[in-house]
Amino acid sequence: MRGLLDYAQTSGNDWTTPPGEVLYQEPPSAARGPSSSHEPTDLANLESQMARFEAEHETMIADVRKHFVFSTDSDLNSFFRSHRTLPQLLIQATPHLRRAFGTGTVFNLRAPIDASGSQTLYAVVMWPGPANDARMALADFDENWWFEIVRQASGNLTFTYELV
Amino acid sequence: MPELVSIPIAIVEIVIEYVRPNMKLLVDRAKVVDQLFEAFGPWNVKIDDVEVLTDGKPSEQGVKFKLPAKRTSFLFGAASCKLTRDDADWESAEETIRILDAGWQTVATLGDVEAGSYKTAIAMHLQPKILPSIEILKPFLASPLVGLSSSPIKAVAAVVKWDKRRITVDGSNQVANGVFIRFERQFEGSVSYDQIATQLRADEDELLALLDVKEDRP
Repeated sequence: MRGLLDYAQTSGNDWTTPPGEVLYQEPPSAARGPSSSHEPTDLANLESQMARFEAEHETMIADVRKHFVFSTDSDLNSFFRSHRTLPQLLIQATPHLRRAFGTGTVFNLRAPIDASGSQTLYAVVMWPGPANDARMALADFDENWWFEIVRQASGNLTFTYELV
Repeated sequence: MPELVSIPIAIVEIVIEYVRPNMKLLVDRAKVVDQLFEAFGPWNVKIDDVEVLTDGKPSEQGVKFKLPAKRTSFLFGAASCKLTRDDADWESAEETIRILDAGWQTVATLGDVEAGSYKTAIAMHLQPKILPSIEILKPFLASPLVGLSSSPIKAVAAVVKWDKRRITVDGSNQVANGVFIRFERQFEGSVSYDQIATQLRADEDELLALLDVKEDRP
């Protein structure tokens, strides 16, 4: 469900803007050799690229939040920081999940750490109906989209359901 | 039993409207800006965190200080000043008051203005983990409207306004399966920060109880 009223639901402050202070600064005493003027542009812009990349990542996480309920039990932001491709995959998965499970269905995200210390992201469909319907919907989702994409997740993402 | 919800986004806004605007705060404000920079020093304000707003009506223009570490901004203009904090919670309320007081005392002293009123607002995005958010909003449906169609209701919103109070309840456009609430209240300029905080806390408790939800904290 989306907001109906034409009302600002945010503060209007943009906290994703790259910081003004660079993360690495060359010491003033460091002598710059003649070759420094030929420094590759990519390297020279490294700080701004990193800041831009970080801002894009934050924006993508905010998009994921619009489709999935984040579990408070696990640090998903930290998990996404070390698995940078997953937010994009989750956003791509959203229309396929909605088609298979219905538009009113709630999708949760959890990243529990198992006994061996490894962590996997679970996208969990909170299913209020019969188990068989959930199984069929998940099979539909798998066959029509997920099986073609699954390798991109490198085993770090599992779609499942929970009866509620 | 109340539905457990997380609150991924909570924003507090406090606007202090002056008894009388002071145009000096718009055109001759170098000293105020300089002193505010000092006042916000404990929160590591940097020169790039200061933004001069020149768009909009004169009453909307001013100078904004951002404190990124606290996700807080303080804007002052000729007619009012405004503090906004993202990621607000009651644990950080005392710190928020300290930031507001540091900014307001500087503006009031150097700008020669008095507080006429406090306009406050708390906005929250509540996120139930299991229950579809529409179920939380259904009690706010206007019953004569419900019977107009037999198809399932997709969204619900409600706004109620009183003389110095306003409450908005809507679906969230920021988080999945979210409910957006915003409660606003206006106070006289003579009330204390503690009185304001106590009243807002009571307003929040009352509204969450009405929605039949409870915050689930990790």
